[in-house]
Amino acid sequence: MNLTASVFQGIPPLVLGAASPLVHVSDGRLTIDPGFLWQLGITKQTFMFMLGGALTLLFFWSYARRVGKEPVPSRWGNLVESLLEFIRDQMTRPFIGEHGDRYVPLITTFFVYILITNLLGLVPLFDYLGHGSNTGTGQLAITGALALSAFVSYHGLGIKEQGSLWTYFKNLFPHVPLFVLPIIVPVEIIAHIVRPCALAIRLFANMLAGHTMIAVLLGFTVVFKEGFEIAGFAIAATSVLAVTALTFLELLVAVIQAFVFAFLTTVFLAGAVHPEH
Amino acid sequence: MNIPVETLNSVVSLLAQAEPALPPNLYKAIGAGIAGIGAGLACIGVGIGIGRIASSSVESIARQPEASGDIRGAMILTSAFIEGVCLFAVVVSLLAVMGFGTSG
Repeated sequence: MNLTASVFQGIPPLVLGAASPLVHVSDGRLTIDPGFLWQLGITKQTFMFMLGGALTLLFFWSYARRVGKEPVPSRWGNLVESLLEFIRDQMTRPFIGEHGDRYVPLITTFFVYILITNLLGLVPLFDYLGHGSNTGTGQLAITGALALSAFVSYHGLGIKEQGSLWTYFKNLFPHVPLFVLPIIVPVEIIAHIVRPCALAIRLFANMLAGHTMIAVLLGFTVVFKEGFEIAGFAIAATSVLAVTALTFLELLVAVIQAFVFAFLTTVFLAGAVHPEH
Repeated sequence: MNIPVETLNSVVSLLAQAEPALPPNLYKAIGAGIAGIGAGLACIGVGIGIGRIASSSVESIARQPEASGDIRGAMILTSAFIEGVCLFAVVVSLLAVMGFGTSG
């Protein structure tokens, strides 16, 4: 099969205004799709998320093979180790303390996975891989899955740390006098349910908003192309400059949102493992 | 007689006289516009909040420049949280627009 021909047959309407800018941030099928992938449910964003997972594994495994064999870490090993030290010193130890070192791999996995998937959305030519956006985390299903796994992780680790389910359940609510309890219990339950939802929506909305802004600004070049000859060129040049600046901001937002997700997971983990009395 | 519905119907018929082609889902379009206003209202609070964060963090960096690393980290982290609140409102207004936009 001629790969080039098939790729360019399914060329997504990147520079056309389409119906709305939201076409460029929604999900679609892959270009080189033999048909059964779409029926399996593998869309472009799902594929990007799986690619992010493969890159995360590669990120750690590439150093993990060599960690026992060389006395001094190489440049790449330095990067991986400094990332792990950053998470241990800035995130886990201030909240959980020394024995929270065993949770560093979990938090680092969340951080690196979300960082890589966010950054894959900014690679320019990946758009040709399919229709729609190439940000894996720009979809509430994927960020919801990440938040759900964080939820299960910190509650599960809290239950394991505190022994039994009943002890953990009692420690979920602050120890207040009995007559305040009917007010505290529903509020705490709602808070515990809302927190992972907030994690999911924060990440999803940040990624979606950034890419929608870029799609809207780039759509100006299309909208103004009829009848605005010279001014249209000026508008197009301005919008491309604005999109360049926005892409730098998106880079910052991608890193910050990954950090915020990992940070909040650490805070919730600390609350589950060490409840305040 | 239902006064608000009567008033609204008379306004709509006035608009229909002024412009012959009324969009078939005028109320949905108005609702979508109000959703946009709601998203803008959420951004007012966020602008005030992040402005206060920035002002107090810049002031404390000016007071104690050797703590600027910690202060900068705290500033960026807390700004990300408050930005998240604005984006919750944006998601809600997107739901309002999409849910009632062209379908149902």
